[in-house]
Order: sequence, then C-alpha cells, then structure tokens
Amino acid sequence: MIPKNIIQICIGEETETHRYWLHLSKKWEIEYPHWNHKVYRDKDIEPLVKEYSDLAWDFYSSCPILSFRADFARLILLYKVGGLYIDIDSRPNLDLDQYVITSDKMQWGFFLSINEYQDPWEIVTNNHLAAAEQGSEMIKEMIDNILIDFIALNERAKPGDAAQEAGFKFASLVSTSAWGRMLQNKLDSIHGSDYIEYHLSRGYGKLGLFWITWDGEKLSTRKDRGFICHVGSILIKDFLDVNLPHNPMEQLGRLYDGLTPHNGEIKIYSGGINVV
Amino acid sequence: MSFDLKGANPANYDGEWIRFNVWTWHRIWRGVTELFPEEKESINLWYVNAGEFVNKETAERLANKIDRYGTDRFAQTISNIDMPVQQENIGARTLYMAIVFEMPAFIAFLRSCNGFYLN
Repeated sequence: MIPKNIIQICIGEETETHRYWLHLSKKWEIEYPHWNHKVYRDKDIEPLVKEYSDLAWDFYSSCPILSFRADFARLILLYKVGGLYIDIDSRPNLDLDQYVITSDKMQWGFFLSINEYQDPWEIVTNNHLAAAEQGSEMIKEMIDNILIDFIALNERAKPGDAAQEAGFKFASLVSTSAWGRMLQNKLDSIHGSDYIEYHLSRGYGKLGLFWITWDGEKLSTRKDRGFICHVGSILIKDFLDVNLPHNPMEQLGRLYDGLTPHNGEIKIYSGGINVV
Repeated sequence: MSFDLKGANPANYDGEWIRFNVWTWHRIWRGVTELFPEEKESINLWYVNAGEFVNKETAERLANKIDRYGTDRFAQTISNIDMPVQQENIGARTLYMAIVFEMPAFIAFLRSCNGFYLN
C-alpha cells in the first residue's frame, strides 16, 4: 500500500526561485488535505542519505548539480518514507487517488516512455512523479544499482576531466535513461520476457507517457492524461538545469529585437549552470 | 529573465503569485496583443522587470478575453508563434502541452489578484 505522503524536494541556497517553488507546493497542501504533504529541504534530506549508507552520502555530497542530487534524493525519500514523489515545479491536475493510486495493493509506480529516435529504442522514465511503499525492494534495487555505477564512474575518472568535475557525468547514473533501464529490467523480469513487445502488442502506442504500476501480482498500465501539471522546465526556468542552451544571448537578443531599451533588473534563472 | 506577477491584494492563493520565464511571458504578451490589439497599451513596460502596476480592471479584462477566446485555443495559437525558445528541441507541441496546463492558473491569478505588479 502506498502511504498517503506527498514528497517534494527543494534544495540549495534560498532564492526567489525557491520561494516560488514553495509557493507552488502550497497548492498540493490545499488540494490534498487528506494526504501528508512535506517539502524536504537540505536539512531533512542529508541525515536520511547518510543513514542509508556512507556510499550514498559520498554520491550525494560529491554531486555538484542540484537537480541530479534531487534525482537521487527522491529515491532515498521514497525508500525511507514511502508515498508519492512529485516534482516541486508542478501543479495538481487529475485526482491522485483516482488516477495515480491504482489499488490498495499497489507497491510502486513509474512513468515509462519509449524514445523511438534511439536505435535500438530506448526506454526512459519521466521522474517528476513516482510512487513506492516504504522500504520498497524495487527502490532499494534502484539506489544500489546507482551506487554500483557510481563506484565504476569514480574508477574510470581521470584527473582534470572537466565534465566529471562539473558533475555532468552523474547524469549517466540518475538520468531518466538510467531510471528507464532499471525499470525495463524490472518489467522484463516480472513479465518473464520482453515487456515492451508485450506492451505494444496490447495496442499501446509508442507516443506519450505510460503510468506502470505493480501490485505484487500484476502490472497495470494507464496512459497519462496529465496526472499532474509539470510546468517548471518549459514555462518557468529561463534555461533548463542540465542542458546547455543554444546561443542564449543571441536568442535573447532576437526576443528583444525592436523593443525600446529600458533600465531595469534582469533576472536569469539558469538552474545549475551559469550561462551569462 | 523571469517575470513575476504578484497580486496587489490577492483574494486567495490563486491571486498571490504566478511566474513565467522570459520566453513564455514574451509569447503570452505577444499573443494577447495580436489577438486583442486594443490591449497593447495595457502594460507599457511589459518586457522588463520594472515593477509596473497593472490594475484590477485590466487584469480581469485580460482574464475574460483569454477565457472567452478559449484557454486551449489561446495555448494553441501562441505555441505556434515563431519566436525564440530556450532550447532548440522545444517545438510547438511541447510548448502547447506546457502552456495549456498553466492557462487555468493564469486566468485564476488574473481574476483573484486585485491588480498585480510585474517584476
């Protein structure tokens, strides 16, 4: 059973942007008074990561990109607390109790999508929403897999590797592709053969997000219809956290072309990367 | 260059605060002024964080116009305007999917803010 905990994460130095995330999170509290809602800050997360293992803390504390830290922290929180993890740059949309929690016996739930532009196709998740029971074996397997890959990453690291030092290589451990690989392995193992072939044979297309849940006996699939409104990446952040923008100043210049210059504050939100 | 619209005297949570990035706010305002050219002067310094005050009547009027036009249709229309985006791989469909979800919150903000400051 998925406990009625809404888990959100807001880490890093307090800024106006953080205050906006916290403002968005208030809406979840208002709309879901029958759920326990908590926004986990650095001080809440750090002891739980340390408690999981020294290696988990090594991973977390050595990762310089906050969004990758948050990718890892959500697994730790789901394992320790259980419930629904929801990205903080989201608003409620469809009813969680009806659309996301598929049964009282539900043990975990993840989004699955098929990236058909890769050859062979790549299975990815969209980790703005994930569900798990407290102490979930699935989540523990995912955390431990990440930590094994972290050891391998450190063994391969070369001094002076700028991408490693900047934290970009953590992406291979906690990205939606990494989660996707772990989910695919689990689905293949539960199903006993190629789960994606089975998924497609049932008439599900390749386009979109599929909410896959496991209740201990069977896997269930729901096509996502916007269970939650995930608005941050496209509408709120000026630049995405971990993707380098394409000619940012040229694009901004095009945007302001023809407008009368005016003195004023210019606020750029660039997530983990300084672009200007 | 984020744009914060903060309610002057919010009636409830919805009217407190809504934020858009530079790309989206320019797209929204361009859409508003192309669809409703009579609103061009409603916000003078709409493109800088100069703290311009927009009164309650204007906010409500904008909400009503977008609502009557249809939030889905508005999202569709502005997603297709040829304007710069933050990433090469963000197309009209992705923009539409994001904007259409945020439109109800935008309308609710305009109706509940009792005027707002654009910062």
